[in-house]
Amino acid sequence: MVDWSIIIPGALGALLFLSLMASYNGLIRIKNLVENSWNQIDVQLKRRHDLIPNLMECVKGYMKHEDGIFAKVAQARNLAQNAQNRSDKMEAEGQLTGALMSFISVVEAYPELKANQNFMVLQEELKSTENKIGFARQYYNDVVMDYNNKRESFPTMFIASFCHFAEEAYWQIQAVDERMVPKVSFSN
Amino acid sequence: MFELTQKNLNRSLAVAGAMFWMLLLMGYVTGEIFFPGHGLEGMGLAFVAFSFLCIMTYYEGSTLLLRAAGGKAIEKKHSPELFNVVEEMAIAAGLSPIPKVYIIKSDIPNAFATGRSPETAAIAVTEGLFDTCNRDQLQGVIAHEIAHIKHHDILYMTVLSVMMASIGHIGSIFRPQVYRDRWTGRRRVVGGAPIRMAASRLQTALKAGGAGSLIMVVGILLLFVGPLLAKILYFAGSRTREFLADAAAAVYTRNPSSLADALEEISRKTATLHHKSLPGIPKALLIVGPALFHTHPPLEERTAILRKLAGERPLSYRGYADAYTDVTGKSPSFFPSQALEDLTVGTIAPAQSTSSKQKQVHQKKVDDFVEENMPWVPGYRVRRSSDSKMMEDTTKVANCRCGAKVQIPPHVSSILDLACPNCHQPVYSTT
Repeated sequence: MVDWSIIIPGALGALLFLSLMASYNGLIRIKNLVENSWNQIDVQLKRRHDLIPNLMECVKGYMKHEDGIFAKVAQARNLAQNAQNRSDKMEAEGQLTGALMSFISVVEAYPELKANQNFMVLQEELKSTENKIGFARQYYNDVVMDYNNKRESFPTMFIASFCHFAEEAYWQIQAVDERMVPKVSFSN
Repeated sequence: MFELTQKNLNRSLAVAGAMFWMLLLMGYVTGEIFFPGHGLEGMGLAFVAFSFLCIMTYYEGSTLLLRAAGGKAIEKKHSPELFNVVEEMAIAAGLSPIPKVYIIKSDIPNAFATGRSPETAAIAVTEGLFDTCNRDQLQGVIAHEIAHIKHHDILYMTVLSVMMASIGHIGSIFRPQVYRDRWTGRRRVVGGAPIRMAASRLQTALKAGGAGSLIMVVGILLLFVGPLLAKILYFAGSRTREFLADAAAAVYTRNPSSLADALEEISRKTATLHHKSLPGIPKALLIVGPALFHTHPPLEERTAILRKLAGERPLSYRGYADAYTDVTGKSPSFFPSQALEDLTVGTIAPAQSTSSKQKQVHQKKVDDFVEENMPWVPGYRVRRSSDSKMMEDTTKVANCRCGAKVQIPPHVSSILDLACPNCHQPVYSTT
């Protein structure tokens, strides 16, 4: 004799468990993707930090009377390097981007730099690093959006709130001048 | 944005399956023709040869392809800019590891991606492309190739092209070669015997009747139309993939104009060259294909869709699909529904683009070059600038199927009332 009063609730329970498991795993997968894409940005930010001293060293000889801008970039770089949590970092890196952009606009007044092979290499590197930061941020934001969507949609929201999946922050553009099209070209 | 490849799978498998059965049937019939009663051996041989080719392609395909094209693997120090652009686009697509980069010594501006998986993928770029495109345009092209890798198109298209080649090889047994004798100057036909044998076999099959001979009849007909049929199937599959890769490129770069500019630039440059396509490379793998057989959708259609998308924010796959419908008048059934639900991709990050001034300077250079070096394109600059004005203008422009751009007069309320001045058909769609 089959006892349906046990089998049916049992099957329903197993089904529920499986679906809970699937949505939990889905959340974990995409949460890891968020972490990973953040690390991708981090790699590029670090590259930029390493690049700046070289660039400064390279142009110093040409730009004798521009100490103000050097100091500004160096200070912004220091702040960005020492930022602890994610939101501080976003803020500080935004300022570094702004400082670099004003630095570049100053550099454009020194056409003789374009004859410097070393400078040309560094210029391409800086340009590409800025782009990479932009694209990594773009990917990060896309993934965060996927994550937040999943976190807030039914029925995953129950699991998300039960297991304390926190909302992730987008990397918004803070500074007004950063919002403008990044112009990192040394040539005209 | 992650499930873009799923929907195409069923259709792809159907195409691959159809080609596979075609190949087996052609093998069977060939066996029957040359050694009556030994059709199954022929089928087996076709199968073995095909499997061997497939395994070869799977493991060595990209190497062979790159070697055939004369591709040379480069490192960052050789071409930092190209390397950086590939890295940038891989980051934008969330693709890792970063594909290997190859340079091909050729003036023809083109690019392709190959490999069996994202892990073993490579992107090859000709020197011509590098010379033709500026950095932004290069980015658009590379984004398109990265999308092919991300969508797993590279393996599928490579295997399919092997199948097509196998079918073509069997078909070529039954195609007479006509050539002019070098010494006597007389026309000579070689390889008529297999055709005569096939014809006599066809006759006996027609006389005999029944299911078995029906297979024979179909098979013998396939020997002649099979290669063409395989091409059509192959190209049908590759065209939808091109649209998907274009859509993804627009989303990755957040700048649809960069790819549109690149495509126009490439076709303009290619038109000036004697040889138009890279030898030894399956056409469907290239960024722009030759007009014959259309591995790729018409260039005008691709650029029109991208241009339509250019001003839009947010920039999403949905937006591309809508633009596709507007331009072609067809429903984008090949688009995965999940990607289309994502309305918001691209709301947050800013797009990076060249300033319009930079673009004008570049355009002027191109115009000057054409006027100085290509006297056979009369009125080029005028046409070119009015074209681009039409693109930028808010006045409505309709793209006719025949390729003509028709400016819609302001008093016309419906484009259904308009006939194209070029082909005299009703104008097809608006941009």
